Amino acid sequence: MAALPVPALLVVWAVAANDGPTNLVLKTGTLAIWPLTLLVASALGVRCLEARRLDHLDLLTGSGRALAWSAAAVVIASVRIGWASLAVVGLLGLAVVHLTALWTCLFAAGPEPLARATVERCFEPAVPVEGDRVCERIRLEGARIPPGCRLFVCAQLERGPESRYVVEAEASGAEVLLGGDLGPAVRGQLVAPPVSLWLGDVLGLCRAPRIERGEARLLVLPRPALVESVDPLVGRSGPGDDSRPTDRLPSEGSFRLRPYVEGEDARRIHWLRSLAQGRLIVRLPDEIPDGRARVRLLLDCFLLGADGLTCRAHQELLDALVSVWLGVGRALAERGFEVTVGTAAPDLVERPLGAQWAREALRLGAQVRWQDSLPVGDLVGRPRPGCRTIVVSCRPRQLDDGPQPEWILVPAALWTRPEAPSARVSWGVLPFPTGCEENRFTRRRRQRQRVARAHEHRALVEMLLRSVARPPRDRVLRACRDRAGVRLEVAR
Amino acid sequence: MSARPVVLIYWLTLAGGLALLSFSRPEMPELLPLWAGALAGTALGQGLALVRMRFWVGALAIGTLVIAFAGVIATGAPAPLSFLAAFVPAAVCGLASLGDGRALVAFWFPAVPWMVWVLDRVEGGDAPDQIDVASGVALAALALLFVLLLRATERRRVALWQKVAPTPLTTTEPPSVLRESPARRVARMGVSAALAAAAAVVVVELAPLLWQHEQVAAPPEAPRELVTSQPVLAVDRVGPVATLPCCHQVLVPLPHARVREYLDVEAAHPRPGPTEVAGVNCQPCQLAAAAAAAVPAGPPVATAAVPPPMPTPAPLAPAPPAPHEPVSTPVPAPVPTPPPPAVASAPPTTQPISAAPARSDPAAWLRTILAAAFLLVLGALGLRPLRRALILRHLRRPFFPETVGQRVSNLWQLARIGLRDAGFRTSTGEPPGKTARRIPVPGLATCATVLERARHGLAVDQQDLSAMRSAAESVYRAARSRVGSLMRALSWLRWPLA
Repeated sequence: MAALPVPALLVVWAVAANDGPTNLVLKTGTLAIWPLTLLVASALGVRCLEARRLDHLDLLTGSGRALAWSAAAVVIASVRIGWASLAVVGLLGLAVVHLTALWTCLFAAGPEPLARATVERCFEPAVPVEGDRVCERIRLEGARIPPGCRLFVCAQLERGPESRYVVEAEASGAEVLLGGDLGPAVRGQLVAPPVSLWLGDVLGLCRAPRIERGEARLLVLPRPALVESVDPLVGRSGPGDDSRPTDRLPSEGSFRLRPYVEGEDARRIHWLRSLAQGRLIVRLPDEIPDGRARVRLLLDCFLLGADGLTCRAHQELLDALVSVWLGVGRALAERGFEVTVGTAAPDLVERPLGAQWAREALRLGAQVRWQDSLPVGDLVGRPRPGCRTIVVSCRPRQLDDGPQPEWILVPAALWTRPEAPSARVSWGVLPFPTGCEENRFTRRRRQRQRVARAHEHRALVEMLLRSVARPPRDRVLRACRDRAGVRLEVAR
Repeated sequence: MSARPVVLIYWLTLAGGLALLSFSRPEMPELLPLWAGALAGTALGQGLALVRMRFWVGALAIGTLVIAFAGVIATGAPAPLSFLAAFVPAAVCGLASLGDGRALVAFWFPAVPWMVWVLDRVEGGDAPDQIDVASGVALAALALLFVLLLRATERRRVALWQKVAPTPLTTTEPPSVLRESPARRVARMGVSAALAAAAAVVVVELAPLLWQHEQVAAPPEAPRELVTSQPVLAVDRVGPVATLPCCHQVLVPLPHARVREYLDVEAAHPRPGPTEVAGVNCQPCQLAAAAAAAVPAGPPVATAAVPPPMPTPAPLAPAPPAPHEPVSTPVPAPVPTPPPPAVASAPPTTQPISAAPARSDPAAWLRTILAAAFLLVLGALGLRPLRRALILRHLRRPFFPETVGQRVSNLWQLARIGLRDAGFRTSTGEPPGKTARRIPVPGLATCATVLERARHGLAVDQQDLSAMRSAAESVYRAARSRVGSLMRALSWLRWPLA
């Protein structure tokens, strides 16, 4: 805020204090800058009164502030040293800063340019699966960009990269389509906060206050892990152990039919029936299962204080838990088990995991977040007859009462990556290309603090995961990351 | 993200200033070291910046080089100090030129040669705080280059902002404008020019007021030779007095004033200053001749060889009395004297006044270049309507026989030109059907249908062609009718057309 009037004041003071032979001329010349400063200050004051906000006074960017202060220093040096080039360059800098500030103040700083701007934001595909490449589309309409200015657009997706767009003044009032590749999608019901828009001049000296428009949401379905084999899990109590009698024989040859569900094997489509009914019909396997054991597969997503964590470990761990949870469920369903998946979202929600319910289960998986309202003991609840309970968790623990469930451990050490290290600090070389504003000391310090905080939170997460009483080892299986997918093995 | 535009403008400013200096002072001995120091320093500084050297480390490296250079000088090797005087600031400013927020500091050294050239034209003048037109043009060009440098720096910063961050960033595509306002492009071009002009006015009006003068010693060589070295004794009514040589024949090197500048090089046009003051160090030629005629005896004096007043090169500014050496001696009134004696027309015994070497006037060159550029731009703009008229004529009715498919494509181009006049942007990669759905102009769907048929190799007959022609023409007219008459007129100056 002070970078506009104070340098000009300093220049006037330095010239007035100079007692050289041309003092009067110097004074006259330098005082001519002052009306320009007053003009800018008046325009700024009017803008602030209009908006009733003080942040409208903060007009100069970092480059603008640097130019204003260095111009003042150069003019003062010219008064002291007397080099004509210093006077010319210094006055040039002051003039450019003030004229740009005046222009920005008059034409870009008010609410008018972006008052009628509409922002529509969407994603392609609309409902991606974890790992799919997602593109962002922002349709901007009605933004008036004054000549000599640019429109900066900054969009962010939760747990996603930041998008930075620039629209030139030739697109003023135009219908503009902005797009970017967000990369592989991460699981979750992601919130895309409103898009930030602000105007800046083409010399990078001034900017207008930000406005925010266009909030959006994106649902990214989880991708179930490919479980190599559930033998370690069902070997102890597989479907054959509690088979159910059937009243049909394999030779009876009657097909069980039902509508086709997306993702099913196309070879099972009964084309004649499909043509007759006008929709796809599939036949179910005609072999008679030897039994339908019921499995209740629960996901433990209880973690205290997860909301404030800034590290990425807990998010990666939760993604891995969901992926293993759904992968194991699907593998069990394919082996003939009647699987019900359940988790806290935030209350207990259970979904059968059949072919027709796969989408629902995936949606449930997308909504899973760390929560601190439903501990795993309440999630398991009372024992259900004829139903095995398996809990997928990152910290199996001994429950206080009731029957102990079986556990599938997803170790954080195997499923999370280390936090991003701090940018390599070299005493002689800048971390980013010269001229990049990320090289500024304040930004580097902020980034260092951010990384340090993330490492602290990572350590906190590891401490939280360790501080529980472990259940007997024979009730715990360990999900290991394998080349093809997930391998379940007995915990050692 | 490329630093090329910044580097280009920076080198253009530097080379322009040095070239101006070289043109105006071709005989300056420090010219070569100045060029070498400036170019080498700038290349070194920008090279260090491009390898991401921190500013203080780069300055340290430059300081080390300077110390090494000073060591070389101490050993007695011939190394001009003017090289060092140019190398150090050039390297530091080159290092700062690619930095963040250091554009003004970086611009100082490239501005110094420009200022030396400008000061050449004002120093020693009557009012150094007023500059002539050529200097004003040079300062305006300097202001424009500064604005261009700021603009290129900001463009690079924006590109870096879009690509570089400690947190992940999206790979963005360039924005695609679906519909624009046709007048915006004209306004955008005017703003940069207006800003540079306003900054130039401020600089031209205010900067000379900040210049400070200093006294410099007389130049070692006077531009004119001293014809007479002895005062002439004349007999007055009160007795013999020492007479003064004829004005225009004497040149006493005296100190003069100039504007202080970093590069302490000699002025290109050293003015003798108030050296010829009648009654002080010379007298009117008629009086001198009369005095010489009145000398009764004595050694032959050079007044016999006084040539008639020779035309001297007109000074760039009237030679005033120096402010530091006010002359208050009243000039004696001219006495009517007989016409100059015949000896005055005798051949001089001394060597004639050496003429100054012919040198080109950079201001004239600058004016010529600016005028040529202006005419070129004017000609290019004037040819655009003609080119557009020819192209539109060919698109409607080809000048030479073309296939039906090509004619369909021509008519689609005609429709696109009309749409662009109305501000609708279309791209060649966009399917015609999509364009027709996006832009609500009657007839465009027909054009798109026929074009897609032609593109897919389906038969297009004369009936389709005539339908396409009428539809394209209606699209052209309907689209242009959406904008005002001024925009329609300005569209004749636009290029590219679609």
